[in-house]
Amino acid sequence: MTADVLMKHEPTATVGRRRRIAEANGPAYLMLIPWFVGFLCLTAIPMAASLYLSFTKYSLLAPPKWLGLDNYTYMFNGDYRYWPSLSVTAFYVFTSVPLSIAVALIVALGLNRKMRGIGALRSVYYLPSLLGGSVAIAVMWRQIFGNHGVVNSALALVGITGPAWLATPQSAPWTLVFLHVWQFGSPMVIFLAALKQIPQDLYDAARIDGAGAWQLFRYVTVPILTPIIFFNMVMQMIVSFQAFTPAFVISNGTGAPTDSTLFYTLYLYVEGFSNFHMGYAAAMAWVLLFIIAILTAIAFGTARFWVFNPDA
Amino acid sequence: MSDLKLNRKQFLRMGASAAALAALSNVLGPVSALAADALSVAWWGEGDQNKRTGEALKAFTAKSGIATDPQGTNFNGYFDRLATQVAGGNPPDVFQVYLANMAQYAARGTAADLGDLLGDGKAIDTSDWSPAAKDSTGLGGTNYFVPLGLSTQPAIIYDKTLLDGLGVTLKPDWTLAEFKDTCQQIGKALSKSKQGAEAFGCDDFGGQVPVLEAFVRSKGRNVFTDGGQLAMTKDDLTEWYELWNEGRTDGWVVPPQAQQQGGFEATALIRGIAPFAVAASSKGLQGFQSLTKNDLNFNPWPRYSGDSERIELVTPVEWMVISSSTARKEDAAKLLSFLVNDEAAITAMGIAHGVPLSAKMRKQFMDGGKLSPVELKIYQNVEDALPHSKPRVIFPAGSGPLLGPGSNLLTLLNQQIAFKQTSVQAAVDRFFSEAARNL
Amino acid sequence: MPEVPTPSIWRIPRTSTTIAVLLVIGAILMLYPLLWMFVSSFKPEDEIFTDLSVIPQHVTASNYPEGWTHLASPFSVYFINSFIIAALAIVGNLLSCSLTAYVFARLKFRWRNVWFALMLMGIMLPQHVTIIPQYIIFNKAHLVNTFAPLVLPKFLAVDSFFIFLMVQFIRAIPRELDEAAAIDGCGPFRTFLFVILPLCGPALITVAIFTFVWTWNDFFSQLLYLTSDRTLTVPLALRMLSSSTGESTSTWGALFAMSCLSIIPLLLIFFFFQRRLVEGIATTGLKG
Repeated sequence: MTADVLMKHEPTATVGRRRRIAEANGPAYLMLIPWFVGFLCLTAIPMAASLYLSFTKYSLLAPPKWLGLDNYTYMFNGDYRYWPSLSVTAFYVFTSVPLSIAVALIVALGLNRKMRGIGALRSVYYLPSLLGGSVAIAVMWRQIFGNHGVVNSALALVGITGPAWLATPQSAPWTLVFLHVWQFGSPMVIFLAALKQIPQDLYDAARIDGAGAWQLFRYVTVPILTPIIFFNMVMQMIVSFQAFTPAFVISNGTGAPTDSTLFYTLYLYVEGFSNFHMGYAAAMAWVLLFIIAILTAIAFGTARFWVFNPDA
Repeated sequence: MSDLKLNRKQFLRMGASAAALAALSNVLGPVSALAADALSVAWWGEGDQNKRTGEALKAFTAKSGIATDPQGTNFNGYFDRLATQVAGGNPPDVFQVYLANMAQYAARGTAADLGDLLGDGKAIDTSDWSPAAKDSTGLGGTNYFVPLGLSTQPAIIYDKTLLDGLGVTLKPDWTLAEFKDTCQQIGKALSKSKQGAEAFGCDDFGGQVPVLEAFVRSKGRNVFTDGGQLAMTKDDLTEWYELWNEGRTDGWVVPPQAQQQGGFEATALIRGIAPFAVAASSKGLQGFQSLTKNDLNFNPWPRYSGDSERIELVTPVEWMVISSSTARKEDAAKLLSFLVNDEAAITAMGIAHGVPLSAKMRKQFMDGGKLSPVELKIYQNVEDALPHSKPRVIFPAGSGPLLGPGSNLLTLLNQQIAFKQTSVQAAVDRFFSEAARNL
Repeated sequence: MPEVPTPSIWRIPRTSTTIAVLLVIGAILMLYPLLWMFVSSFKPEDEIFTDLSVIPQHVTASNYPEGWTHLASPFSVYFINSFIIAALAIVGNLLSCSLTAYVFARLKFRWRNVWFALMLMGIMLPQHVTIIPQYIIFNKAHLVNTFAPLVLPKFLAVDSFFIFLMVQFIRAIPRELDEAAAIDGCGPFRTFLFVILPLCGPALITVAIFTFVWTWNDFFSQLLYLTSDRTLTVPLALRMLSSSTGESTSTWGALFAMSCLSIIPLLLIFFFFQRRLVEGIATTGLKG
């Protein structure tokens, strides 16, 4: 289903010129052999196994026992930690994805220039995403957002007494959002690339029509970038729904305080590996897949209303 | 176009150099031919424990001629890998377990029955061991576990420099009421000495399993029954949560919004805002002491009231088991015997897992003059506590979600109470209903 | 390589200076947390957490030699292992993802859309639940505790993200080239090898760099499959230096020192390739 949408969404500039190419089943399948082998062994079989396990009680240490739909019914009614974990994840996705895309875009605009040392500057902005979710990052983040960390010292200068950001259920999720936004390197690089692609004559033409810097941005840059924004949005959404490492390293895998950073996959992991409920974890994973697939499909559905299509 | 060709050339060059690297190291075959017939030993260790355990294993190989394949990692990740290895049919020959999940590994048949290997005069000789060690090897009458060392758990670790400065001395047989008073006074005095900056008696221990255990035991009960059910009553847990609620209200406990996440480095003790911390004595004192210049010392968890006795818990913090599927049980037993009974191994392992299991060995080390002052304090602390120690019941399978590592219900509920998201009453009910579901 | 002319939205010089200044300030803010780590790597152990300022009271370089030699093997072993895995992963991804992407982008075959959808679905399932079945497969194949489980999948095109990226890129290459090749008698595979692949240079660089960074930082699968000391990689070694529960004599200084060193390869790679990386994506025709 998703692929249909995707395929239809591909640039269709060549359609007019394209001669219908005969189906090449033989060579195509031959060349897909590596992918098929990998897909079958490392994706399809493990996925099928996890789907089966989602209907069982599986402690990892003993063989699975068939349960039917019990895992799923318990998830939706009975598990008091499930909904909070889903909702904090949704909060994370719907704040950090737009924010990081906005920051990435703004910085990319700034970095898209000729200037002495621009390579070094780009590297500096990309540096945080190179660090991934290393332990050192976690420790650093705790110190920065701690009671007497640099964030609060800065706030104190303007007379605000900040909380220990990681310690209250209200502020802790935001520190993870900030972490995500701080590591905006990948979308930034993609935006930089896209900006380079914008034909200069578009700007020249707009400028002749008397457009100022803001108008150029609003009516030339942004529309042309919408496909890239869209691409980043979908990819970031898929990845963020499965965000695990930031919450894991920062809360030591506890999701504290009060489950406020217990991301979906963190909870899934705790259930599967710490609590030996791997069958339940598998069920959670499949529900998440379903949610992501639906949201992806919706995103593709809305794309035609706001994503600029040069071929349309 | 020429640019692109250049890129392609570079691409090929990258490929070629990678292939050369690969050929060099012959990586696609088993990396170490030795590993195939070496005894695999998995453990978690933090800080310098990994190095020390590795050295002990080397000493074993040197002595016995049995090759080992050391598989150390740190706590986060260790159990995920272990569970995956077990589920995948590839468990290590010998692996480390601990309180919250050892029953799980024993009950599911993953850990070997050590009946013919462990005991007085057997391969893993227990004849010199202190009762505190002997008491902790079994579950339901079968021996599975080999303790790695003894610690008091929990030990209260306090900042002696700070208390001396305030003119406070602690009594080893203090009561809970005295503990609360001391916390309150120190918090105030400390705050005063720091020109009104925030200061407290201790961190919020309400979510810490070993401290809850000490509290329940101070009332004369274990947390679990031998049959694997809760021995702790609803009243115990209510009283426990109320204790910390009171501490928050009266201001001697670090309030939730001032807590910091992390390990020892994030405790009120290291941050200098309260003098008390709790930990297993061995790792605790050493770990905390490496992070501060102040002098640290031990005091036991308080007695429940003036007429109750001082009850301590001297116990192993980590155990090793032998995989039930290993073909080399005897070699594994030799290794474990070496690790816990041999002087060379104990010297290599240091204090991280606790002090030696045998009284003879402890005395030998204490008199040997090679211990650091910190190590000597830890040895001394165990000797002081042993006469007051009573055996505990190993946590049953299924206790993980309630009292396990990382994300457990005790901690979650304590936080929810602290942030007023739930009442003590509701929290206690929740705990007991989840216990009924899991145990 | 000449810099492509900047779209001159910000042509007025004064604005330009302001922006340059803002960029530098932003960069300093971005760098602050890393500065903390860098400074901490030069502090004595007992000052790292008791004195939070970025100006150390005592400066010591001993964390570096201490960290380098702290584990059973010197850190050079872990660096080499990480490099080998990353290099092989890059080769694997370059070959397999470009081939697979070519087939999806250019060839028509039955059930293409179904396969494509399945490929994308593969990245929507959290990896934690597929890990055990995968482990069983690799264990049955006697490949545990070798680099194969980390490297082999890359030769089998399991990174859907890159396939998707390459599909987008190949679609932007004019079809006339394929048709010309077909007239010259090239079959699909030769067309891929001699026409499409040479034009993919920048995209391949992109894939290579992202693969390098992601493989270098990967922790979980390396943790599962590499157990013996000689096989450990940099992230695994760093975890062994860290104390997640903090319950032992700490080696934070060594951890920070080695963390700083571990970033250097990433940083060098990015710095030298950033220009190319930008071009690489620019030509992928990510038009959504």
